Amino acid sequence: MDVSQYLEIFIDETKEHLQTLSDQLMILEQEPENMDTINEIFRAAHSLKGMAGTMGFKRMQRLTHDMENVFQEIRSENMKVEPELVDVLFRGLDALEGYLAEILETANEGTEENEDIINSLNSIAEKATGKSSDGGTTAAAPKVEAAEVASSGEIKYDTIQITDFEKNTFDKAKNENQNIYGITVYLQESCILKAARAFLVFKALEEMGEVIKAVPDVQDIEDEKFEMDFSLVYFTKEGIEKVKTAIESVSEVREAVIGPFEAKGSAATSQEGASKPEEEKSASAAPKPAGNAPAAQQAAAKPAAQQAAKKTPAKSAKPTVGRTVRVDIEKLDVLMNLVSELIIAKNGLVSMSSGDETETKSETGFNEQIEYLESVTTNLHESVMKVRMVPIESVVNRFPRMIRDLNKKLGKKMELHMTGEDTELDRTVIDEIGDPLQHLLRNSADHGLESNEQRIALGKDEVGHIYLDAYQDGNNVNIEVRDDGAGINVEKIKNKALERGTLTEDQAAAMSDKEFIDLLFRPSFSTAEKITDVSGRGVGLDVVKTKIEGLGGSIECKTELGEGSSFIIRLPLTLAIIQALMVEIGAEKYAIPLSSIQTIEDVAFGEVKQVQTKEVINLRGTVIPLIRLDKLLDVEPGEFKPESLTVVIVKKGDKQAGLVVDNLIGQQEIVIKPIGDYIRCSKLISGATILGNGEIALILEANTLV
Amino acid sequence: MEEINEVQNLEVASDGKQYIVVSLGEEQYGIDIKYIDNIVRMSRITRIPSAQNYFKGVINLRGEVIPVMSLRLKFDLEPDEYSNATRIIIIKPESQSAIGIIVDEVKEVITLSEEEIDKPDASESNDVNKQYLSGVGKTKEGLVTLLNITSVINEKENV
Repeated sequence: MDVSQYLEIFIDETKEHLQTLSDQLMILEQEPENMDTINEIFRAAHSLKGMAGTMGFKRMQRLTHDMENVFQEIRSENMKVEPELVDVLFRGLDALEGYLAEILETANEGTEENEDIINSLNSIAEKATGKSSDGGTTAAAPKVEAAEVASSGEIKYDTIQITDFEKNTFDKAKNENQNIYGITVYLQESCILKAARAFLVFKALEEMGEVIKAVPDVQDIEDEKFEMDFSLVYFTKEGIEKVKTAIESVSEVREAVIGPFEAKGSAATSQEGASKPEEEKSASAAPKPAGNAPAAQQAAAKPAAQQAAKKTPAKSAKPTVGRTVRVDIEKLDVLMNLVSELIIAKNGLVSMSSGDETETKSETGFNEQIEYLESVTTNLHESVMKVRMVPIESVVNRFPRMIRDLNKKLGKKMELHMTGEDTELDRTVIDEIGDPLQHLLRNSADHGLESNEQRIALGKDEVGHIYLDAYQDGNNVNIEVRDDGAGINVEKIKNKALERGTLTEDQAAAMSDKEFIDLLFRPSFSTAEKITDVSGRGVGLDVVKTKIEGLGGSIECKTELGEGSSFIIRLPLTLAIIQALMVEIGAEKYAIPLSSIQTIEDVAFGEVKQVQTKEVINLRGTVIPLIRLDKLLDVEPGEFKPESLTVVIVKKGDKQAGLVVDNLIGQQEIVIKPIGDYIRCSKLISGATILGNGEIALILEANTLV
Repeated sequence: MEEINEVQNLEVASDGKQYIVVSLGEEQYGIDIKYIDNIVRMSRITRIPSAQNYFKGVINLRGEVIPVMSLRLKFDLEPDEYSNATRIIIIKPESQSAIGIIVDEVKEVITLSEEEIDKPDASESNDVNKQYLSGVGKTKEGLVTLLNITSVINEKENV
């Protein structure tokens, strides 16, 4: 029995339950009397306990068991919810998340016992109820039952027959001072996952010695082809008691009967096949790993060989759990329909090419089919994108908890207001956006908001407010982190920059407020006077910026001294497919993402002015620097000399630049392909795309140009 | 496009290693067959601005964008002259993405046993390109320089 195949489900469900726990605990803190919440928490803890137990994660099981116990007491109104208890529960929640993180990486729960949390849980339960807690926790409960129910298990292992070459290994084991035990394990009548329990028993035993033989044999046990008991022959250096405890600590085991085992082989020791016993021994001792040993080696060599890795979870380095998206069945149905339409469209084209209609007729029919195909592919693209989209909720729902903790840590009263949690973003973006957002929120909480006293003195609401708003804006999703705190002091940035030599006086004098604020996004620039463990080390905003730009987005900061500041993150809806303007420079084709293009202008040569040896144009009152793409990209100039310049105006935040191109081809939906890491590629090129005729066009990253 | 799947299937049969022999000018080079994903005819290469000089650009191989380097430029030989025999060999190292290298001609597949390969002698040659060699193979027709293909493609800076 191999539980690793359930690992993914376990992780998914655990995440859900932990989220429920977190949400409900937040509510509980506000409304300690809310019975629905208490019940909800009890249920979540109970499910977690059950799942952890099935998977053999004992430490996790123990912790959830104690959490469940506490809520059992609350439910039966033996005790009340105290703030102290909520704190302990939150710590327990963190510990559970720690286990989950460990499981995600190693498929094992790790060794952290979290003894202190368990103790404080128990002492709270004890204090409130006046009863002594059942200190032995989980393992104790089934054991007591077991002792009551079955005191007279039959010694079935006596009947195990031993073959000749197995006997050989017996002698060998005796020489090595190993104890030979016969074991009969009885499961509880109510046990449902018999094979799973048996597997756990085997696992426990293999940690201390070797299982030589099993009746029924291992394969049958795995397939659940046994009644409520099975017998084993076992070699170990440990004593009977230790083995017995190990087996009985597996839940739903009713009893383990253990005694010294005497081989009752049919014949005397035979010498034939000295190598055979060895084989048999290893084969029966570790039936699974032995079979998979070659596979495991390969797996080590080839990290991609996931299947092999799955079968030997303990041995392979990283049984990383595949990344999954849960998809609404309706979305899949839509996809199915579109695919069938696609096939119909293809068939239409096939019949068109083989059809014997008159030429003119097929010409129009052909165009119709192409149009049909186009609409189908567009819809298909949209639907596939939707499948990849995940509501931002899955990232932001941990923030209320974080703010709550900061509340206590910083001793500031603050509230988090979130809107637009249902805004959807591409899965890859969702995975990456969590850390930057968390960073911004921490910044707001630590530096943005003033202390309570200051706020009262300033006549503001004592409680600080932090807002997290997500909303869709055209092809982008904007996420705004806003606070009503002190705002950013531009003077302070200026002084700091001068002091650190980042800027000279002259430079500083020429800079606008906005440019000063942009300094914040430079590496190792912090205006915080004191470094706290929440934030302020100056390794923050630049990392946030890099990360967001890596996702194809941008970040901007607006601030009003005394009123608060806001950080606006703009992210593309999806990464893989974008709308782009195709342009020609010399004989080469390039794509400029439509999202960064503002306008396209025809500029006469005479309108180009020189400012500090740089070319600029004055466009409706705004001075915009010109960038000659052909020079920048070393394109050989074409023969064709135009009358005027075609300028594509691109924007990034409030900044603009004009890109000079030779020719416009048109708007097109392009699929972004990576160029790979061999070529030392300039930052200008963000990727490549394949055009309809098989040609490759490079994608210009307008953000780096501005 | 010439698929080499059949060749790969044969690999297991003999105990020696198999190499594909390619020519650059007068010289013959051998590339370990296990790294070779495909051999394709010359196709349209899109230039990448400000890339290393020996990178000719990228090609479209069945919907994938693959960078292509010129072995001639990498080895400081005369620039390529594309002919009908020019091929792009697509190399796919185990844990890296694919990359193409341009060669004048693909000749044949040879099998070399351990005895037929001379390891490069450190003292004898002071060739700058020595780091790219893994040995010299002796065949009936003559000598074949065996390329250490992973070091050829992985050296990022070469100015």
